[in-house]
Amino acid sequence: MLNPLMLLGLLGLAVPIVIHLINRQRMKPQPLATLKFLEQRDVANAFAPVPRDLLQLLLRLLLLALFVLLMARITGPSRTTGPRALAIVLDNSMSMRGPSADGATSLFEAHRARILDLVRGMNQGDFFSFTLVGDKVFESTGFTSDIAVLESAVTNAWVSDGGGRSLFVAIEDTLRDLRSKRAASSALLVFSDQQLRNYRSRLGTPGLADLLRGSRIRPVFIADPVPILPNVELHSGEFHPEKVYLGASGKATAHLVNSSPTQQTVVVSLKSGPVVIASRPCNLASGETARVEIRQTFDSPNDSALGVNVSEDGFNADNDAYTTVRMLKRRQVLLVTSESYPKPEGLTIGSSGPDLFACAINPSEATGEAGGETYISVKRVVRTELERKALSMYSMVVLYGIQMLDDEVIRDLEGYVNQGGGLYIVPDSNVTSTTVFNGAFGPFLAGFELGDLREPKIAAVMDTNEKSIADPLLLDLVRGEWGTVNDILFARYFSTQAQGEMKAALKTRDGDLLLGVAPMGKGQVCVQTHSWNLDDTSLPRNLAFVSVAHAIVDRLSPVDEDVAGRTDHIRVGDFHRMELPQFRGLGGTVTLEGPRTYSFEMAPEDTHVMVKDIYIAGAYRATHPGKAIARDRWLAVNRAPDESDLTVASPEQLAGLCGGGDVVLTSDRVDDLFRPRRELFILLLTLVFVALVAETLFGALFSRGRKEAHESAV
Amino acid sequence: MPTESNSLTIDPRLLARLKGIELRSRFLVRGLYENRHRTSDFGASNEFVEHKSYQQGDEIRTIDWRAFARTKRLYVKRFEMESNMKVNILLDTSASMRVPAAGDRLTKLELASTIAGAIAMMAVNQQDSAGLFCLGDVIDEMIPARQGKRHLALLFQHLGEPAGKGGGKFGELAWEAMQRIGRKGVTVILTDALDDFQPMFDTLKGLAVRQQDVTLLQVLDEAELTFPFDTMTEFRHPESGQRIMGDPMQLRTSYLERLEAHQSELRVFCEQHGVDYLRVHNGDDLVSLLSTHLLQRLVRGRARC
Repeated sequence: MLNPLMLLGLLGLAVPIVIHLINRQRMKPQPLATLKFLEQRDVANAFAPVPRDLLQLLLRLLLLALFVLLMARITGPSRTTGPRALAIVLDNSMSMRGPSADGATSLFEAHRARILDLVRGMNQGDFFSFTLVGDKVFESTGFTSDIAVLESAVTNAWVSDGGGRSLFVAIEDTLRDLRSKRAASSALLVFSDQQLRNYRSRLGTPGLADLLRGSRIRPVFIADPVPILPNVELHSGEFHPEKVYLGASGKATAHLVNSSPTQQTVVVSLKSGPVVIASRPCNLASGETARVEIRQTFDSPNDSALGVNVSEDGFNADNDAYTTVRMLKRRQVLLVTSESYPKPEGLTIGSSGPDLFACAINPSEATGEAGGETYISVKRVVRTELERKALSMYSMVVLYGIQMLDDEVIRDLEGYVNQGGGLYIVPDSNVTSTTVFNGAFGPFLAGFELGDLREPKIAAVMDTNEKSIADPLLLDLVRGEWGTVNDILFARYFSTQAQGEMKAALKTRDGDLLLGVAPMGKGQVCVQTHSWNLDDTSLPRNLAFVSVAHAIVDRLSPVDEDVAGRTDHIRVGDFHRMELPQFRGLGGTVTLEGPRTYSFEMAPEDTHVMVKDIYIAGAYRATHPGKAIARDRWLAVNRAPDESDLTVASPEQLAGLCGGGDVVLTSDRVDDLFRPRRELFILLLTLVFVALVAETLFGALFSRGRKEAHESAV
Repeated sequence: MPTESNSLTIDPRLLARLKGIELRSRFLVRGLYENRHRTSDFGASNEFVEHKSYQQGDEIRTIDWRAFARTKRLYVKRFEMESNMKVNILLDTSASMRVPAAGDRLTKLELASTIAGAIAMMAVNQQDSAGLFCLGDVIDEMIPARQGKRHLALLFQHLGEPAGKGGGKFGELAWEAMQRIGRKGVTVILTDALDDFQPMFDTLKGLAVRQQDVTLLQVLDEAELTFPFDTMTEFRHPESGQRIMGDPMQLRTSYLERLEAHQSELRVFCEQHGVDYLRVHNGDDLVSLLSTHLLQRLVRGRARC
């Protein structure tokens, strides 16, 4: 019976009887003076069942019952199975990449081959649906009898690196759809590795039982036995820092889990594209987890996507992880000193202010070692050499102890700062005339003017009250986060004649400005009223000095816009905003090339694309046809977590989900699922028609007889 | 006492048809006043009856002198006496006569009252006297026969709303009424005649003995004659309250047979005992039916005379 609820219509058989009873209740007495001519014997006969009435009533009841049965779509035994309705659900989660029972193909391929056999074996009248589902429904044909459509969908089915989050929901939807078809021979076929994690949240709930109740649908969970294979899962791989400076190094960290029952030895590799950069072996006992670190120095200025890989094992799908590394430009600082500060030679480090500042920024460079351990290099020149330097090469210029410059140099500096450069002015005892200084550097000082040189008997202490500070440049120093501040004294500094629009970043407790910052064009200017000489301040002897120097350089050096923002690494299926400033104003289609190619639209006014629906893990490079030569931007897409847990749901658990019904767990022959039954539609329809005609004829004859009898009596 | 507003109204068409029809008794009557109706007594009418030997005391003016001249014996001429006629109407006002009729038809009692009113009007208009007996479960009304328009108005008032209830004893009550009617006159009985026949037959016989010209007008409802019901119905007797439920289609044949037997018995009795019988139902055209019957009755009466 395909529509058992319709059997409720049989209650309608009571309607004629109820109507009769109601009419009897409502029967209005008819006064009749000639009542004595009605004899009791005749009355008794009148109440006796009259074959004619009884037959008509039976015909009507039969008609009603047949109609209800027709609506209920009852089925009966047959020689053939009849048209089949099959809802096929294929799981394409990452775990389906595992090997099949015979080991020749993947589990996914094996299931797909079975489904193709099913589709190609469709009979006349059969209608199938095919649903490809993992974290989402990737393909759904709906119910169709078109073999070509189904074959195309199955052939083009692919396995993702995502999970099976939507598997159960898709099964429910498909089952609901199949139930609405109300076919005599129908089955739900779930081709999956039947991972327990896909069903765990539904265990203990009605699950599919409500949908299966009252239907003739056979739930079939096709599950091959999963071989126990050695497997070391690369749980995650990451690289720190995600942004590195050219020549600097970082480390890749791989988190490994040995889920095999035996000890495993694997090689962890760090790869850039297909090229293995570095690798190291790792030995893991059964169930052991490990964190493997591989250090790598980057000499190429290009951004890259890195892959962390574990050597092949029984389940290769979980052996890779991807991340991106962004290369930062190396910063160049031009340190211009007065002639009284000669550049120290060899490995000698001087104690003068410029020496200490240069050493704080890049110690190895200051001591003449090759290369550098920091991302900042310092080019040191004397004032007279400044006019021969191309300022655009430098991210920041430091004028240390300079009282005045040529007008041409001042104009060059002005243009440099306006274009985004940073200027750091440090006057010291070489500045003998503040008037000359203020006049020479007036264009940079935003109204600030140096006053007299102060040498208090008691060295000044810096003000630690944050309220007196207008610029947060050295806020960490004031708060003591870089070290103690009590021993930081200032014995000699210039007073402030006019502060102008200069924002104080550091002050003495007496209110004198020690460091101020002001914007100028696209760049910034920083003025310091004391030198870094050890006689003038104790700050260079403090541990915070290096941080102070780096903070000033970081603030004044222009930021590389291309490396702004975070790196791009997501899980499969994530929705991600990928910043692509290098494609600003281009609009059109941005292509992500990797294991697959995806395209996303970008509006001309945008500098980003919204990435979604990538379900294949890997490293994807963003390209745009309008800008063939552009800095590479990479998107790392990693597989879904926890897909390595290959624990299979037990037959009891699956049967429980289906309400304890008849659940087939393994079957290759779908025809065996069905008992040969067919819907008795034609037979019932014929019977209904015959009953209808009989009732009509009988009713007409009966009415005619009554009419004639009545007329003759009248 | 019925009010003026409930006075009987008669279809003017019926009155017009009855206007030229004389209501006469088929037999000799006896009345107080002189009228056109023949009596068994001798009186001063123009209708010569016989000669009688003169005896002392006879009026001299009645002596037939022509006969004396021929026979030399004294004879007196005797003439018929013509008198007025008493018309008594026995109206069945039992509950069975009050059964509502289908549609806008008259009930049996309304139909009977109309007929009674028409007959009373005919009698009064021809200077005869008319009386009324309403018979329910007792003699509810008894209006002696009198002449005159005022008396007719009184009759109409009572016929407009006849008193009576219950039923089942019409024969017995008619017998009682018969005791008060006297001899020689016209008696019109209006009833559905559905009670036991024997008391009514006894009354009819008694009336015949009393030389009453009896007319039995059996008033029925058309539904009682045709039994037109076709759905399961619960029938209730209006007097006894007895209920019977059944399928009329199943009951009709035997019902009609029994009704016909009942009617035949009544009709045969009336023919055998000289009772003028007419069956009227509320589906009939009363105007033509009643006038025709009265005309036929008049013709028959004259022929008999």
